[in-house]
Amino acid sequence: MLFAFLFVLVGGILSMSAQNTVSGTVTEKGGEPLVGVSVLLNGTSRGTTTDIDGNYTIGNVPNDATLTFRYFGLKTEEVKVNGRSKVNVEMADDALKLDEVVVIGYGSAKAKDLTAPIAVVKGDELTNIPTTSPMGALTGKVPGVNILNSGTPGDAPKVQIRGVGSFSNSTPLYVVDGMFYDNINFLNNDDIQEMSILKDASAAAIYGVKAANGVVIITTKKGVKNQKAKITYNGYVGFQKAQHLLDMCNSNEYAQMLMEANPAAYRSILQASIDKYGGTMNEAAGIYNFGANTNWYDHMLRTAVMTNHSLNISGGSEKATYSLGMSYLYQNGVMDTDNDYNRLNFRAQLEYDATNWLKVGFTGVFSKSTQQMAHNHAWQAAFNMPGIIPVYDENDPATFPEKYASPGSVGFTNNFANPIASMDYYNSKNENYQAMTNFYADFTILPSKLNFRTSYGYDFSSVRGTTVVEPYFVSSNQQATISSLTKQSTDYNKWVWDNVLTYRDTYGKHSWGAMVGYSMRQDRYNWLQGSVNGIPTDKPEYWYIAQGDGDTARSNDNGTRYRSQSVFTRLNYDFDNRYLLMFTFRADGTSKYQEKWGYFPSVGAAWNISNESFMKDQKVFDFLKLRASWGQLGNDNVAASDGFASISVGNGSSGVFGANGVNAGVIVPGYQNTSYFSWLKWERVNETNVGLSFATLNSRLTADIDWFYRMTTEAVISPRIAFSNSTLAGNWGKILNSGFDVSINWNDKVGDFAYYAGFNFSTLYNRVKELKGLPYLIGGKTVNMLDKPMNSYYGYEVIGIYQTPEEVAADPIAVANGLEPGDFKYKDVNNDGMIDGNDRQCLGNYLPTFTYGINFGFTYKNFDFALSTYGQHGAKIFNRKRQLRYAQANYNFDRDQFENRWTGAGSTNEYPSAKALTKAWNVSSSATSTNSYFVESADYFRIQNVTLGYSFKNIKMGNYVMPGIRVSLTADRPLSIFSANAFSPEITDPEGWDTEVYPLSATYTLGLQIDF
Amino acid sequence: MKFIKNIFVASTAVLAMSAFTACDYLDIEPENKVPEENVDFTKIENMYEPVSGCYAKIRTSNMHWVINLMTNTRDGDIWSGRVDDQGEIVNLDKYVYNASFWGLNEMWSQYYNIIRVCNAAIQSLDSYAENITSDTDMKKYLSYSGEVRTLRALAYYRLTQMFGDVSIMHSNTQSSLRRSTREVVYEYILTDLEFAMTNTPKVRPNQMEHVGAASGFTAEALAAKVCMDKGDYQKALEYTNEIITSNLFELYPDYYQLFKLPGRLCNESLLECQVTDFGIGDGDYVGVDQFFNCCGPKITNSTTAVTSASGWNFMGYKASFVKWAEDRGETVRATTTFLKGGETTPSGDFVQAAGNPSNTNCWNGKYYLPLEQMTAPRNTYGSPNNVRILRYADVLLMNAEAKVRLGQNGDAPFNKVRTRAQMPTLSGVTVDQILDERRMELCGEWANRLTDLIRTGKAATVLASQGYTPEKAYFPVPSSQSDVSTELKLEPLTTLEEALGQQ
Repeated sequence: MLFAFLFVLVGGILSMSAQNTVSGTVTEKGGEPLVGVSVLLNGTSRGTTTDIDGNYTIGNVPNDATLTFRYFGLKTEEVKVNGRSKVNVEMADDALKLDEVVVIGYGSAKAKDLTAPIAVVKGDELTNIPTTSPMGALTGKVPGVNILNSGTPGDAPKVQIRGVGSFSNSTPLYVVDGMFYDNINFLNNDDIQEMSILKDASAAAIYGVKAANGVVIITTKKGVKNQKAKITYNGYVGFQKAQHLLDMCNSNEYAQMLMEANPAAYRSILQASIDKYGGTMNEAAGIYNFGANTNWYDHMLRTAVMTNHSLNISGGSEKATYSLGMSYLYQNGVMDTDNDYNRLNFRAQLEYDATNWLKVGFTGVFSKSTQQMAHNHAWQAAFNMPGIIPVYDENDPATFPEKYASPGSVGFTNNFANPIASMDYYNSKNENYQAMTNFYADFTILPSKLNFRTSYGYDFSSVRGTTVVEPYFVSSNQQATISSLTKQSTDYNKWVWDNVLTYRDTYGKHSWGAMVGYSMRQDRYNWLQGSVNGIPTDKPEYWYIAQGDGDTARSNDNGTRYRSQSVFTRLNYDFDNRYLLMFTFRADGTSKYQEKWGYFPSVGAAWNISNESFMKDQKVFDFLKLRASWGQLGNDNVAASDGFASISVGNGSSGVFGANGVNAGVIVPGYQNTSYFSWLKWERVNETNVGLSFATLNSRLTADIDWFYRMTTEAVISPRIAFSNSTLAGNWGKILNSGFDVSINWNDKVGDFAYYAGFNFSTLYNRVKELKGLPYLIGGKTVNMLDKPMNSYYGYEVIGIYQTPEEVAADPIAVANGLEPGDFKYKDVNNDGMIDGNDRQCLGNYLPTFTYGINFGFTYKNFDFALSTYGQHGAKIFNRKRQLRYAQANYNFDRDQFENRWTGAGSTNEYPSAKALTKAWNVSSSATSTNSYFVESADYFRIQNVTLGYSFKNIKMGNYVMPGIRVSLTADRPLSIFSANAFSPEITDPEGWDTEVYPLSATYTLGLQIDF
Repeated sequence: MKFIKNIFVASTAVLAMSAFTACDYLDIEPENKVPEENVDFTKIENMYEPVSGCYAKIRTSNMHWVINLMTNTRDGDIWSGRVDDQGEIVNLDKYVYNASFWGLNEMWSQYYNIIRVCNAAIQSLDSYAENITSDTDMKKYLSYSGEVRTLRALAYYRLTQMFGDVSIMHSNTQSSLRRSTREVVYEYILTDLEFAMTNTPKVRPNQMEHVGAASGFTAEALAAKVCMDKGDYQKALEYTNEIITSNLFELYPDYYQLFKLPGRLCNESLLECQVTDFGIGDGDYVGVDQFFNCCGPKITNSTTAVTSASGWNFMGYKASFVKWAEDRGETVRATTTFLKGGETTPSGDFVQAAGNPSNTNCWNGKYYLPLEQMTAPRNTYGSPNNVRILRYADVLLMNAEAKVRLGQNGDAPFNKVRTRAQMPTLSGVTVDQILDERRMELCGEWANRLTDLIRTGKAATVLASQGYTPEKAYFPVPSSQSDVSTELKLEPLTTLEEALGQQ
């Protein structure tokens, strides 16, 4: 946006000819007056905006001057005055947005001049979507951008752009007003003016070693010159409700399962529940009635409030622009205990033309948030805990402070926990403080040709964590005998100094531009932790380490400091608006790795076919452009290597001596020295992109189609060190991501009815291509195998259920493993008559191969409506919730397991019997020798957002005319369709493990926007 | 004005360029890392530090709960104890092995982690040695090197016990890790132990400079065990005779307290894994993590400061074994060893019966620590206790067996063990009687019974009913190891020379 001002300068110095006052009316197509259109006198910084009736007046306008009329969403008009004193303008829709200025790295460009696919999302598309992080609001809006939202209040979503090209970290780079970030959780949706998502290498390569996972450039809100103060309030209030609750067995069904599985082992537990909490049991008659029949999820969930309020003021004079804003967001958690998130933001932007060659400015965002954490472990505990104990047991003398029933009271082992106690006896809070600032100066050396910009950005953020445990007792593994306090303080301190020289010029049909830049950065991270036992817990005021038992006070700290410096350039050439060429290059130096310097080039080319003379007479395409690009990108989000082996010291590496008889032993300081040298550097991505953009049918139908081929080379993989559980990382892998991003949009207006419909989709082909010569690499959760998708689940394919004793007796595999009817039958892949590790296969992974979004909306008179949907196909999740049964055979069952279980020959060939579920053959402890029963489809279709709004325009209140009030109703994620046995198939674990997942809720809000 | 502007732009550019050329801007050291080169090997007073690190590794690696559980569950007398958790360990008792079971991998890699730490410690000691000027320090260096070698030998011994043929990792940078036969590994172990017997003082561990450290006799006792496995009874007799005739060792009179705090590092002890909670009720615990906790039932006592402790209920004695012991007339050894649900221990703690009748109702009393001996309010089952690794009783019984096998009379050492256990003495004892005695005396301690059955060939008959066959004597190489080191699939090497030649 800042660079938009450069265009104001286009036109050079005007001759001082005759001057007069010009006035007029600006209207929309159809004659409606337009309020707030910016009118600028070209070549000067003078201008005005239209009033409520669309009228404007500018004094001292030379007769040969040109006026520029700008209005968001409409095509910018440049009109020659030609001595007139009345200039009326009708502004047309800018359906193609070809002249729209798009923010690119260290500069800006017009949409029509781009050689790269850059998706632009405007701030007002985000404002009303009830998400805590702006990225969450993008779901389904941009093809090729996959967003995995978390239900935990305040948690950032995981974002993947064009697949996953790293085993280490695939978080994109966020550039907020020039500062680099890993996430933008500190921003409010309403702080954002626009986002540019750089998907391909030719756009992103200007960010070199940071760019491999894609780049999202965020510009915070700016004011506009010559505009009266525009004051806007935006807010919503609503509630969230968890959906797709997991349907678990009730006590009766649980009893049936256990009695089918192993009556001798589990009868006593059932009997104990009846003895203690009432009920009747008659095995012969199959009667199991329990006094305790708890549905844990019912007790864990609530309907929770979410609200956001923001106030923005922006405007500008002839020489200055400003924008100020504040916002407050509060999200309560749907977990029925103390967990929530709130954030208060202040934002300021100022820019001032100090002289005709110097412009100075500042932007700043101050953010303060508090996240009261939820104990996500309780979700898993609720899945595992059967209903045969109540929530509370007032008669148990041992429990305190609350009378939570103890799982041990009916003979459950230490693996069970009372989930309500688990979520309740948890108190952990993070307070975040962040200040982002950016100061800049822009020098015009040759007006409209050469300028130099220097900017200094500084960001400080601090996370203060406090975890308090107060003494409690539920059962022997769910207790705290002594209070404890842990405090953590994490600081991030970073600065960046950018210097950019930009030149542009035209000669005849040739126009070209050159940019060179130099950047210096430092990123510092420091962490300090202290803990103590035995603090008084009554009041938060006592929660200081100094109040605890000094003998137990411990502290620890850590930190990193990385420096980098970079030089970069971009050269672009345009012949006659037909042939576009772009070249970028960045050299990045970093202190993080032993190899200091990396070099990242890119080239892009585009052909505006519709500007060719041979296209003049055709009517099919209003616009047609072919694009191609190639480039190299780096990913330095991989750990720094240890430049030298280091030794480990401390109690963990020291022996104890003299622990004899009554003497407690003492520590004799020791060290262990077995570390390995690692020599890591950034990962490198080679990306090719070929794309086509066109508009047809009177520009009503527009489409962008892109094909990409991204190969990550030197990907960091961590093969196991021989004879060890540890791994050693090295740049030894290759990963391929390839696919299509397609978006097709239809826009039209019939009378008062303007509507749009859009469809976007993206495909992904993801394969592991190199693993240091190894055929596969097994991780803790998943396997990476050559020519298979990365992070695949690994195990046996279930091909059926053994139905009869005869079938078992006839199968040597079943005989060797002591199987019985009801057990899984696995595919003997190598046909050697045994099931062993060699019969394991890749069973799918968590990356969708096809994602799509369908959007529809209209405005009719004062109504507006928008619907967006999102779906994915081809991904799988691992039902870790069920697989945890390996650790405790009599965990509760979900109702799907109960209702569909094998009960005799012919009953089912898919689900195991109740007994089978308690055996290691069917439920392996190892996640990488699991079976396909635990791998479920993550396909889903979701109505992402529905919004209905009504606007009141130009409300007259006495002398004051309020420009507009809009009231809206929004349903966010009201409906999802999927088959997985999960709260949601959208989970934030990048490997797709479904356990301890905070439910992703539907949110219904009432929104209000007031323009003062 | 233009002049000022140009000056400004030019100076900024110069500044930028000078920063750019100042390449040492990027040359900063990583934060919070002490480079290895900074260990000062001239500080001879720190020479014990790498040795202490090896003891820590024994504590953190060897004492992993799953290793202990897997070690003990194939001898026919002990089983997992729980049908509702870790099904793969239940299967071990039926000799059904799953090479991808995580526990196998844990066992394999933890022992090699010990070996790796010991290898590095020997290197560090050698670096100190280069700076040693006095004879006293030189003696210390040799003694310490012996301690490390004993610990390394222990790790290899445990590997051969469980996996049979295993790889010799003589260097931490070795990339070829083909296995060697058990016999070759024994040879390698004995070289280490002989070094320790020569260079580490032949005293009781509780007389060592660092109280409880492995002494020359620890090495000798371990060497005797290796020789018993090899069937080299002559050597085993020599080694055990030397320990006995030193007259330094004696059986601790109270078999029950031997396994409790009072018995820690007593004169019977040849090696223990030591832990400490510093004698205070909260704060650090430098110990064995879940080792005891894994094998504990719930115990309660309303009269002690800690009123209850409860573990994971694993590791059960089979009823058949309990009956065998009771039929023999065992008294103090039975009350010490068998921790029965629903009964009260001699220390007055009530043992809660298993809730699930298919699980065990008799746990290993040798891991039980009375609540009165806990450091209140700490209530982690067994936490302040040391883990017994090698005992003099074992030495006496090996001595008796070696004697009998070599045609001598083994009554004297044998009856010492019997007498302490308040069992009537026997005369003219046979190998079978000694093996039975070992079965009782050493049950639940580091798979002595299983090793006895395998080395004597009795396993094939005694364990046959559970599905044992001689090829099931050892665990398979964990698949996550052979996936990475494919040479593990090759036949083992048959000479020590080849093994040491692997680079």
